[in-house]
Amino acid sequence: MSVVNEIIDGCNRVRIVGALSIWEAAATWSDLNSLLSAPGPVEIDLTAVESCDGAGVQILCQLHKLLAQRPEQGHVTGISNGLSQAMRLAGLNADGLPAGQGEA
Amino acid sequence: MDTQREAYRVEAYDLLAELEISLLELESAPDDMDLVDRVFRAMHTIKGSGAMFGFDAIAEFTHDVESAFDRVREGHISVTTGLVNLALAARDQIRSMLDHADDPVHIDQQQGRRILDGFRAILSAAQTAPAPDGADGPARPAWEIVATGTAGATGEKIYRIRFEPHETLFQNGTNPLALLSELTSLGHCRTIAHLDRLPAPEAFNPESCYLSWDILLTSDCSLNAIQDIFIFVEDACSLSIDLIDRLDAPAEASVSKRLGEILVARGDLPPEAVDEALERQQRLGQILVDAGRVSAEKVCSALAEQEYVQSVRAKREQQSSAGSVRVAAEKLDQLVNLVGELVTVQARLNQKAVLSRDAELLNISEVVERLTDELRDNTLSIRMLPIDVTFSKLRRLVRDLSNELGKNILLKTEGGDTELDKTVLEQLNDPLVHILRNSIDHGIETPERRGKAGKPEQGTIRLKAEHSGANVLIHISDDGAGIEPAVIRRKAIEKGLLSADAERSDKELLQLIFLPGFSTAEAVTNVSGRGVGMDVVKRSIESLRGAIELNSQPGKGTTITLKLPLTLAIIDGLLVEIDSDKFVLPLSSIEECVELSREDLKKTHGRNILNIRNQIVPFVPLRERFAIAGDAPNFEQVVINEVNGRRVGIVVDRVIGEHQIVIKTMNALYKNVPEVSGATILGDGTVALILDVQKLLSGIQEENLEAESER
Amino acid sequence: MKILIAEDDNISRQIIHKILVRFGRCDAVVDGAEAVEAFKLALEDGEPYDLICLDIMMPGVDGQAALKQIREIERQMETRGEREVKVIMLTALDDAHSVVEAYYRGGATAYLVKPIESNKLLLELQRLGLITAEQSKSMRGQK
Repeated sequence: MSVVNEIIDGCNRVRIVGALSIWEAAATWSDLNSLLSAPGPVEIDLTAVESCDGAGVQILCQLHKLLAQRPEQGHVTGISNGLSQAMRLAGLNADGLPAGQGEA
Repeated sequence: MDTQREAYRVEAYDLLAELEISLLELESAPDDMDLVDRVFRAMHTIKGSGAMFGFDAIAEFTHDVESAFDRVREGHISVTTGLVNLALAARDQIRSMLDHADDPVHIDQQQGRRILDGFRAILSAAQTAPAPDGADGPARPAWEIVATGTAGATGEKIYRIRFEPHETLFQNGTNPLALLSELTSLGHCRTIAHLDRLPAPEAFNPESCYLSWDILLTSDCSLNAIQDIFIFVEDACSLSIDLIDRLDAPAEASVSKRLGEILVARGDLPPEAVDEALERQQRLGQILVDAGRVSAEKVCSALAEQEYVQSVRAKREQQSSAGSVRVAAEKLDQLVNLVGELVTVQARLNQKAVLSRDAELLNISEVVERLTDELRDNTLSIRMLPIDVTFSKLRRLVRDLSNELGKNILLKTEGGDTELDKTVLEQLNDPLVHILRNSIDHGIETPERRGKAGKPEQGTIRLKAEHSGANVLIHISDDGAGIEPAVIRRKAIEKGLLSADAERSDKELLQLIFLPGFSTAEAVTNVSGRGVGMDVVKRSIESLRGAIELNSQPGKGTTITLKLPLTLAIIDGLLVEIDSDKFVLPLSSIEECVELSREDLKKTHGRNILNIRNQIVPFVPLRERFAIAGDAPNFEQVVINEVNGRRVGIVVDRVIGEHQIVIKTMNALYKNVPEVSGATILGDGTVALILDVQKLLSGIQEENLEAESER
Repeated sequence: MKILIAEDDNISRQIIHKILVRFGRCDAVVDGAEAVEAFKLALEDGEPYDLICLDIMMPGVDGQAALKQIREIERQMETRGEREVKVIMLTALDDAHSVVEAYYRGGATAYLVKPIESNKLLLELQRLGLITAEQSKSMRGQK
């Protein structure tokens, strides 16, 4: 796993590559935190996530929370098939919220 | 008659059919209050809805019948054979009123009054003596159904699995997603994630597990199978598995749970809180969230459960046949006709495509062929109906007849879900009625005679339907007196159907029953001695392109087996030709084809008899019979058919080959041509007539048959 | 008399309420699920309803399904015959299938087709023995 980023036109493009599991959880989370703590718009690309476990799913939920808390724009630009499968299995939608519960 | 009334009649006929079944069941289980309820409801429905759709006479008639069953419901009247008899008569009367709603003169008003008088007598007797014990004794069982393996539900259940991992779950290397994935292998899962334990990002430890899940699993697995999945994480989570709904229970028997109940059952909320909220009669979920008694997420999850159970159940009900559409039979026939034509046109297209050698056209033609085949199979399957419809009519017959003749008979049915083409089913009713009448009248002995013969007093008739290739077999067997071959022989000689010195095996003797004018009953009763013999049964089964077989063991009983084709719309036929005219012979009765040369023909000296392997076979030259001009070829073909147990030849110019034939019925203009049962359009667009071999050969001179029977 | 009206359409509900309110306490709910819930609660409190007016076309659990559930609850509690709650289906559906479904599968006591007229409803109540002929007449006199 690695978290890579480049800044293009003032936008911080973050890309998570490889597995997203309990073994990488701590490192990934701290990388993400530090990247997202910097001000300015951010885009997160999840198309290169190869696999994901329960810990990974949790990180994605928290990632969405972090993005929502930021004053600047931040969003996820793409998500890999494996990742969306894992989210579905966990009963979550792509935004890290419980699936199929739009309203109370 | 307007469509509303017509629709009502259709519903009412269904209702009457169900009423009859309920009444017969009630007779064998007179204490079953659910059955009493069902009968009452049926009567109440006929009364209430009859009035709505302008069938006032029916509504009025049913009123007293309904009152009587209302008293039964209240426990003031008990169910007796007398009451069931009366109710069945009332049912028949309502049916006749429905039949003749537009010409009421045909309704037997006197019979109606007699029935109502009967009910009034029962009602007034009940008033004087609160719970009479029925002078005619408790009703006795008259039939039962032997369950078949194919019918029924698979025992699917819905489980709620609440899986709350401890924060330490990840530390022993467990991936909760793997567990969820294993659950999906057991059955359909609806997974609801709970994020409420997830802390704010600042306080988040990525190596702790905060997520928890509610999983609704639809599966036929056992609770243990689910527990096994979680066996290694038992110490690292709190887990509860509950069976919340059994889908194999009848739909009405399990009322889907309300939101409040679900929340309480899941332990999200104390019951008092629900009561408190419900008293205010608002949307429960909203009230509870507003009052801060439960988190919105918990309510969502409970709502999802409610919805899930309902949706699975709805799907289930849909599958279990209730969700069906009523279509007029003519529309179906029309559809079958159209499909038949499509099949024909497709064959032409195919022929043309092959000739043209155009690859693209060939390709298209192949696709059309596949689609047409599928369409044909689907269309034909729509016309298939379970034979149970016919069986249930017979229950009533057995009951009434055995009462009339003072016999005690149990009817067992098996394989009621076997499907047959609607047309076959309709035409099967009369032969079956006749066979059963024979069994009840001549087969099953009186209780005294059975007692003397060391048999149980109650006789048994079994009706069993089963698939056998492209056919359906129906066995009708009784454990009655059986048929004594010697008696058959004596009768046959008496009636001149058999010469006194003819040698016949027992099996052959039994087949004589199917000859016209044969009746073995010692005394002619008004039940089966009506001049209609087994020959009629045989003929009607054969007209369905079926076959009938009789086996009997004296003293033990008789079994009749009917073999019927699944459908009448398509048959396997042999295509033959005379000059350029084409004909189809049904393949089912064909045994072989032999060549007939000019020399062979000369040897017959105009007697139209052929010697095949030392057996004399009469034949019909079709060219002569149909007066087709021109000379026969030097070598003709004889198609040997088995008809009424005899081998008979049909002479044609050429045999072209086997074909699957889509039958088109002939219009009324041809009704005086009995030899032709229908027509079909061949691939090249020409028409071939389908011959009714039996009718065709009925013209054969008796002497020929005599000659054959003497061998 | 205790009456439950299950009807999602506001105007219909008010009309029925207006006709029935002088005969006793009228509760109103807007879908089948709530109707079943209310029926159950009343039963548990020992004050069951004497009459339920059920619309068929309601969101979620419709009237037909609600009726079946109500009868099922009664069946489980061995409530039969006279003690069953009287259920009048009040609905715009007048096809034979719906009618037979309600009566036979559901066990409806009566079936009235909308629009609801006061006289029609009153006559039905009288037929079911819920109100006396006098009550019915005096009500039918006034508009």
